[in-house]
Parts: sequence; C-alpha cells; structure tokens
Amino acid sequence: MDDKDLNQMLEARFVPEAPSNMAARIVEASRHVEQHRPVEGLRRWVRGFMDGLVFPQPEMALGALGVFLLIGLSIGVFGESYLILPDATMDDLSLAFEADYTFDAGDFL
Amino acid sequence: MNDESLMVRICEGDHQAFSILVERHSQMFFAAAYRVCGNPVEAEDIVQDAFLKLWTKPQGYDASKGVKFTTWFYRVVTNVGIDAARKKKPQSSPDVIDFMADKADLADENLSKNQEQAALERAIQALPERQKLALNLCFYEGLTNKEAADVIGVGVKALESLLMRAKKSLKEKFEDDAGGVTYG
Repeated sequence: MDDKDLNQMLEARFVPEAPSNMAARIVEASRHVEQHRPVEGLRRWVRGFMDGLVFPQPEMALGALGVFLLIGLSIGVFGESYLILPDATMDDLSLAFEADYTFDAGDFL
Repeated sequence: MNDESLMVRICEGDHQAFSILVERHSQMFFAAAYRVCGNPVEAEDIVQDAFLKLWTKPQGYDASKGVKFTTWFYRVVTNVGIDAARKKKPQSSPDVIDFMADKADLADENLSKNQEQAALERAIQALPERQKLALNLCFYEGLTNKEAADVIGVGVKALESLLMRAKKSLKEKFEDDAGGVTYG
C-alpha cells in the first residue's frame, strides 16, 4: 500500500454527525456550574476593604504605616542602644535619686 | 466577535458569550473527540466535559501568549479524551462497529464500504496514543506541525516521527489484512 492509497482511505474516514441538540445541552448543563474565579474574588475583597477606609489615599497611608513600623522594629531589634547611658553616668544619676537623710526634725520646726 | 474576544467575556462571566462559542465549535470538536475515542456516545461526553471545564476555568486560556483558541481547546479536548480512554471499561458503550452496523445498507457495496471503514477505525484506535493524536491533529484537524506538536507536548521533529510511524503501522496492518491475516 502506498502513501496515496493510505491517504485516500484516511480521507474517507467516517465521522458521525453530532446530535442536533448537543450544543443546547452543553449550554444548559453549564448554567448549573459556577465559574471558579479565586483571584478575582480576592481583588474584589481588597478593593472593598480599601473603599471602606475613610482617610484619603488609604493605600498610601497603610503603606507608610507599614514602612515606619518596619523601621521602628529594625532599630529596636538590630540598632545600637543609643538611649542607654554608659555605666558611669548611671551611677551619677542613681545618686540623684537617693534621698539625703542627714537632716533632723529640728530642720522643720 | 472572534473566539479570543468571546473568551475575554466568558472570563467576566458572560454566559451568552459561552453559548455562542459552543454553537460555533461543538460540531468540530465532537468530530475531534470522536477521532480520539472512536465512539459517538463517548465523544459527546468528552466534548461536554471539555466545554464545562472551559466555562469553569476560562482563565486557563491566555490569548496574550499568541495561541489560537482552537489550538488551545484541542489540547483540552485531547486531554479529556485521553483521561476518558484510560478510565474506560471494556465494551461499556456501543462500539463504532455496532454504530455503523445500525446505519449499514444491506447492499453488498455499502456493506463492504462500512466494513472497510470499521476496519480503518479499529486500526486507528489500536495505534499508540501519541501516534493516533499526531495523525488526528495533522491529517484531520488541519493543525500545522508546530500547533499539533504544542498540543501533544512534543517537538516538531518528534511529531513528524510520530506521524511517520502511525502511517507505517496502518500500512502494515492493511497489507497484512490484504494478505489474509486479520487483526481485531
């Protein structure tokens, strides 16, 4: 059998017609099936949340808040302790908080 | 409105757009599904499943990638067809031979033609899966070699090899039949 004979046979291959109401049945079946749109649902939720915030440009405000929070946390966790005074100064300060008990009652009467 | 525009509207939930797409292409993809499974009842199930998958997750098609809708949907129909074939119980639905027997004319000439068609269908369905797909997509669905290769998931050279082997298998089968050895 040569290519020409095979091609002729293949071209004559029988394919039945689809049932006439097949398309209508598919469309009807799809009416009972919900579309799956997870990303779209999330976007809609985020948009709704942002619309509910009353200050102007809520995205910018929340973004700025987040940035400063991160900066603050970074300084607190990783930064040097600029607010803690050296030991010698702490001793001087503690002296300032100690009361002077050398007076006697006569000082007040 | 072209298929790609309809798909955009389907992504937005437009059921009317989906109806138009089904009306436009269901016959063509029924024929494609039939060529995959060789059974008209199964072909109808395959087409319905494929279109319902399209409706459920239309985002699976991305026109910006430059792929035609029909090429993409051939892949969907093919995959559904392959899954169905793997799950298929033997002789659970009317076979193509029974179907053709229903339509057969008792005249000898038509009977012989139907037998030839049944033998051809049996031979094609007996081909390895990818050879059968290559033959169907290139010979019947009119896809280019590149498009057919994309649908099957192989390179163009591999596709051409599949086509060549499919035709060789069919020739050998029919030559053996002509020599008196029967298959199936």
